[in-house]
Amino acid sequence: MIMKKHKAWLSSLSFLVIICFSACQEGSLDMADSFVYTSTYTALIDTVTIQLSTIVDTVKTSNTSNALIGYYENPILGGQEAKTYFSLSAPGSFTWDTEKEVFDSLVMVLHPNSYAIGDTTVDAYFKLHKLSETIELNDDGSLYNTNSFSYDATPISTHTFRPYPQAKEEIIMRLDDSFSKSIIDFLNTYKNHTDKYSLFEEEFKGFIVACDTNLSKVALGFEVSDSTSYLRLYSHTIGLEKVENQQTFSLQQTTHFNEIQTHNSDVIYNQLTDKKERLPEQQANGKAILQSGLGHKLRVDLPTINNLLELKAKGHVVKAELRIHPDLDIMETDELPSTLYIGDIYRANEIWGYLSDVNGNALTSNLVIDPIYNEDTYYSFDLTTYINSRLEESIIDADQGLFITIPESQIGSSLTWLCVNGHTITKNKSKLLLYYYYYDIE
Amino acid sequence: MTLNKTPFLLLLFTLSQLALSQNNTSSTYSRYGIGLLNSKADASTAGMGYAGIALPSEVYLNKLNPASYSAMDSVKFLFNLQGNIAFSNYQTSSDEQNNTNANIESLGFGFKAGKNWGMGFSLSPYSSIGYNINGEKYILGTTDKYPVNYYGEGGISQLSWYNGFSIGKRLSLGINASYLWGSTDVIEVSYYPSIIGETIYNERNYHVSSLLFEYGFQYHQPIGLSTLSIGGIINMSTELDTYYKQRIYNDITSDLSTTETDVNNLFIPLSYQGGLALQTAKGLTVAADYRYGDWSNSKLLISGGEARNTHGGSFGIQYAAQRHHRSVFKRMHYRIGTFYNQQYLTVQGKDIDERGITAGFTIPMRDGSRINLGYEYKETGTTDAGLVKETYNTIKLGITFNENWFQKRKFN
Repeated sequence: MIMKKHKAWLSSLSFLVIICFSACQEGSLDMADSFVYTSTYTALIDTVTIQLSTIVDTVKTSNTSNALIGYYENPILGGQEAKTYFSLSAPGSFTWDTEKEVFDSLVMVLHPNSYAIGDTTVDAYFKLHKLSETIELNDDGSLYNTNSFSYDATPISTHTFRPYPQAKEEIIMRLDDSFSKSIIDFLNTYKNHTDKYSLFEEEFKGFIVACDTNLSKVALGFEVSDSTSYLRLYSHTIGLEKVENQQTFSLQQTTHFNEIQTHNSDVIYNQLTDKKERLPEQQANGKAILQSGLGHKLRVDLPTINNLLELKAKGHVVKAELRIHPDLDIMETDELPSTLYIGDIYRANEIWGYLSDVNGNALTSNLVIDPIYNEDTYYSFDLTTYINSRLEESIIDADQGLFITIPESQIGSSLTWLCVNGHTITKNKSKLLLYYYYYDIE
Repeated sequence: MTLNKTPFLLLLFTLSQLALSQNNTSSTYSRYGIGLLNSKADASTAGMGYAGIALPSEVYLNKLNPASYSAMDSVKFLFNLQGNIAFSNYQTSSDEQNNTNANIESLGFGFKAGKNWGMGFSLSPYSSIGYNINGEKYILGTTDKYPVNYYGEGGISQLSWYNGFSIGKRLSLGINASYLWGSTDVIEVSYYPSIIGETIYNERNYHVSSLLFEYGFQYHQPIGLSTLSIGGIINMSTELDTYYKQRIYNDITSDLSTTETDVNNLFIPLSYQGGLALQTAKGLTVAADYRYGDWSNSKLLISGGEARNTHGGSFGIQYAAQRHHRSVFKRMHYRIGTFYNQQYLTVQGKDIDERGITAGFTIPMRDGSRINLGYEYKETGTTDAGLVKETYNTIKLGITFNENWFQKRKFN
């Protein structure tokens, strides 16, 4: 019996031994890197060749909800002129008392969207002309920066003003009175005509708002919507007492567009007209240009991407960063577009689409500004996913490149531009940084 | 008897499971080679500074030398279960970490298989790997660093079959045939917070297995009422079949690379140990051992260092009263010891040696079972050259059950 008691005691003790076996840890050791040797490493490779070029394509400027008017002297691209076209519809609810009503004025009201490029310290000279040609949409239902329609040489309104784009003060241009009265007469004459709308559009084809390019030094943006840009008719009725009236004529949204053109066709970038062509940085002083309204985009190619396959065999790109350095000898930091988009482009500049980030959103740049020396100011694109997926392709096509542009919403209604340093110049050049993790497969 | 076999088998099963999935160490040095070598010595041997190559397995299982099994009592069945709890302190020149690890150390049993033949089995860890190191590396070509974490877990288990044979009255020869097997996971995680890069997991998994044969002898020479013993063991260089799998993956996509291959096999090198022991009639035991390991030929790749041949020594004294006392304290066995071991690696030009002192006692139970408690203080490593100095306070608990298996009882 005594023996059995001992056995029970020993068994329970051994059981205790088993269950209380555990491990715990307090604190952590940060080892000097000399202690741990593994043959893995991470290296920065910043010598991958990238080829920058400038490409051009027409820019869709209709349906942008923004009008661009003015003239801007770009330090590289030269003079750039923007005009905006409106067509007019016959108002559905026009009322006019031919007996008592007296015409006062017809004005065009334009509401600034706060965009401005150029010199806002001098006056702007706007001119409004009557179109002599009906605005016709292209086959694709759009209008482009290169489209133009003829208009009367003599303006029916001019307006000189000092621009305060941030103040959003409305621009009011009074139209020529005889023209204005002809509209009223027409509407009264054809009031009950079944084809009055088409007849009206035949008679009044629309307007163009341009500027005097000799005097203006600024291009300004305006909102285009029924509530912001319109014609307003002021009149009064004579009776027992004077009653003031006003009526609004809407401008047509579908046919509104901006014509944007260069005045300096001798500039090398402006000679680029074929959308399939590239202007390599080597032929443009090592620079490439992005220009929204005239349709210049940056193209980045990786001519030696096939060499990176060797990296893939032994490691992995943990980070690929494309750094596009602006030319801050020409540009000011505050002129830099805040956001750039990047996408796939093929051999003859066929655009395949924008790149996405890991969350499926459009991949955008991150603008890093070096406020002191300007030397480390650059646009950073995270191309990690892109490079790694390119390296997964069975045959890597070096004709597949990247294009860089500003957001589409700004393209057709601004003269935003960017001049960047290519890979071939020495100072602040654009480059691709590959952070490469080498793993030792034993 | 049938009553007692069931819990034993259960224990056996539980422990064999446990032995394979333990976390035996947290030492940074376990990241090298096959990890830190574990002693399979009995807790009573550990109390004597791990000295005991020349001592017989009369009342406990002396797993240091298979020849000792020939001395087993012909009616006894010894079952040993042993565990430890280690309180460790790791210091670098700037950081400190404290760990507690508790583990089953070994499980074994022995019995007399023939007139001159003692046999035993044991399951114990042969080597252990367990570490978690934070480091950083330069991104080559920049002045930026990125953090790298290294995790390792695993080790080699050893299932041993001991056989000791008496050749005459004084000499015994032994062989320990053991199967070594194990699996180690080593993960290196690289993070890139400064460049917002992907996180890369570099995971290596090693499987090793092999048979290992260890040969031993003991010779016991009576000198008056005392006995002077000499013993030795040797194992030949043994190749470990090594199977290797490497998987590299990131936090974005999935596997970047998977490699499965037989790699260059690891070697357990030639090693031998010799020992002397004197046991007096008054119950005093003095033992001293010497160890040598031919590790520089082991083909172990020690990154940042090299494998070196190892020498080590142990010395211990035990006092066990020979007369039966009423007081348990007078019946207890007391022992102290000291040891010095060179580990098989030199890192950063620094030899990693360990030295320690031990003490222990045995509480003998009336049926011949024993409870062994041991304490060990051990230092190893250095804070020089960015290395780690490790201090261990370890308590070992061993329980040796004694069953009179082969004794026929007249009454029940």
